[in-house]
Amino acid sequence: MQAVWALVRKDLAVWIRSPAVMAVTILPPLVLMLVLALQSVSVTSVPVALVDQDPGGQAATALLHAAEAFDGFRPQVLTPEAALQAFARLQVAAVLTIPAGFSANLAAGRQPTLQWQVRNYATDSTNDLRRALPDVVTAFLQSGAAGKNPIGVSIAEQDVHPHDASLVSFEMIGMLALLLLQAGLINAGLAAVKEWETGSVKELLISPASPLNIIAGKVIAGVLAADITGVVLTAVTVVTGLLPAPGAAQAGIALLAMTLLATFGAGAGVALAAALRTNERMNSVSINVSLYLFFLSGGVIALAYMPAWLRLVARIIPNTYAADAFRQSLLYGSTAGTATDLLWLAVAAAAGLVVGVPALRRGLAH
Amino acid sequence: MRAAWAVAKNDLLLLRAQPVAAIITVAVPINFLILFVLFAISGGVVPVTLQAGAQGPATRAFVQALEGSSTFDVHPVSTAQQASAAIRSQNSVAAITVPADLNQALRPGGHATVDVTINNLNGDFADDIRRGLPLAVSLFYRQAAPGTLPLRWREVDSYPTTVGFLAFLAVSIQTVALLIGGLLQGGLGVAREWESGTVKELLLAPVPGWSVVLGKLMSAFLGALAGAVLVFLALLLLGVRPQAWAELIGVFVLVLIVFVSLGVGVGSALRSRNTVFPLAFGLGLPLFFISGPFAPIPWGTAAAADVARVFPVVYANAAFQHAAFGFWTLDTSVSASWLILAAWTAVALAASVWFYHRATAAR
Repeated sequence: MQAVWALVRKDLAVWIRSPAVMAVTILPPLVLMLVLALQSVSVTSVPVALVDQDPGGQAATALLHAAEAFDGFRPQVLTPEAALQAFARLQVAAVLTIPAGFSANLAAGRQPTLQWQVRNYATDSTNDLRRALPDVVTAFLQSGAAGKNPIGVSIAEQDVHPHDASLVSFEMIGMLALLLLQAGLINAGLAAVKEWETGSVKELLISPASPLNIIAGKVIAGVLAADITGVVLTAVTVVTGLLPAPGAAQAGIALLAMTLLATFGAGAGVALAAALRTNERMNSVSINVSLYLFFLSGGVIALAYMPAWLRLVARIIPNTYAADAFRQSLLYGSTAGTATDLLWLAVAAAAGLVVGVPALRRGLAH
Repeated sequence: MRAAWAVAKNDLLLLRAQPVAAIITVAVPINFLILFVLFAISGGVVPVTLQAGAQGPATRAFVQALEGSSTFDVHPVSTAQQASAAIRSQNSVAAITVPADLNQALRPGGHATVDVTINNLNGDFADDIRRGLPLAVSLFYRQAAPGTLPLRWREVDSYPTTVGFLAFLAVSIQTVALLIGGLLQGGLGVAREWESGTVKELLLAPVPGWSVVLGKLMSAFLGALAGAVLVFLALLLLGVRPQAWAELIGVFVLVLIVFVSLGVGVGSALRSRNTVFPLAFGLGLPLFFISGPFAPIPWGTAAAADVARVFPVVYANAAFQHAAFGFWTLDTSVSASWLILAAWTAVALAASVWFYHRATAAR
């Protein structure tokens, strides 16, 4: 054990003394998290112009208020000319025009027609806009401003979670799983590769430490480095308010999930190191491996949205279970389903070690 | 020029001698495209289960309205237990129950309640369902009782067709894939000289520094071009059919020059392949997200848009989308954007020479 801890301390000391390596492990996900935070606004709501050509009409004013109160887009009331200009200059994604005489025509039962001018680049943003207008109209009809509400269908909603998490927080969890896997892969893998590149593998092999101790030192150092990275990032997201502060049980579950995922990553990392043996190959392959596992597990979206074949693949990727455990514990403050997640992560960690340890042992033997 | 060509040839021969490394680096852009296509392939429709109390015309009209709302992927189930199981196993996001008396809602003063259980993983996903349902209800009334609604609306689209999410995103992805590929090809080729110590031989050789840089640019450009061709073939497989081929090729060549030049500059500054690799991804991913992959940057936060406008990616993106789909997705005019790209080409080339000179002067 002494030899193992000596090796762990050595590798951690090298890691801590390599600010460039630490920076490139931690900074890109931090930057990406910041960018996701900025970009989430564009994904969730776009600017829309509202034009009221019936300013004196009560119904028109009520409809305008319903549109202004709608939280699915960012409304701005403009004159027709200003709205046209804003639309042409891409400052707004759509223009809702309430025609002249709207209120009078509505009262007389003449079914006035709203104009909904949409910049239909792609289906994603366009469908958001197409869903927005009926929502506004429904709110307007429910307000009674158009007389008796003719819509007799009401929606009774029940939610699985007590409140909605923000899109940014949800995406952060996926990024956290990516980061942990990458950190485990890179830190354990590079620590192993470094021994070959610098030639210090010879000193290790003639030392009294057994090959198994050497490998254990590499893996444990990689896991600890990944855990430290994961805890630091989680703390940053909690301090910045992106994630709520977890309770003790949830924090323990999250930390256990981090450790198991990092163990899988470290096992895979030392296996790759034994095969690749150079920094450059290790960097490129490990980044590709962690990104493929990230996207095959759904990345920053929910499993249910994936095609059936991709869902099947995701169910054998450790990131899927790590992201679910992180979401339950860090996002929803729950432990539901985490036992299953931790079990699968333990299997993945064991698999990583079963593959990585013999591979590195063979590499050292040669 | 002869010296530049000799440097380029040397780098290309090195790639041939290290086929694994060469394949990995050339394949980076196509890898990136595949990865994000995996992300985009999940699409925007919400998988929901539907349990119908009866199978009358009103129910059929409501189901048609759900499917016509461009929001839901409807899977019929027979029991509430099946619906709950689908949510628990993450095969659906919501369970909709249509009451047996839905047709009552079409009568004056009549009422019916549609129950929906939502797995509100986050507000954005949940709101898609919450907004998709009123659209489905209004479509239901339009089909089943058209005279009931006191008002109508008419959608006026700017373009005759709406580009699919995957195709739109794929074009944005390929811009960043080219960025990462260019940075890697340029940066790794230069950083290797410092790491292996062969920069001394280059400095001792009787050739000017700019011809070494030119040689590096040439070999990196060819490597990046190979990656770009793979990316372009992938776009064709995804169904993207460019409307302006000459513009597309022009943008490809220009952005490759910019990104490869930046790569040479980065490689000269960092002098370590270990840091070039993660930096390329570290720059590429954020730039992808802020450069309007999902929607034009003026529709997002002003701060993100301002940052995006500093970099060439957003202009390259807009030019690619114009060449592919015929529309312009930036508030900067077409001619101004091309001028900015041209300026970036000059700046990137100058930066590659300057950083190389600075790095070699330090020795």
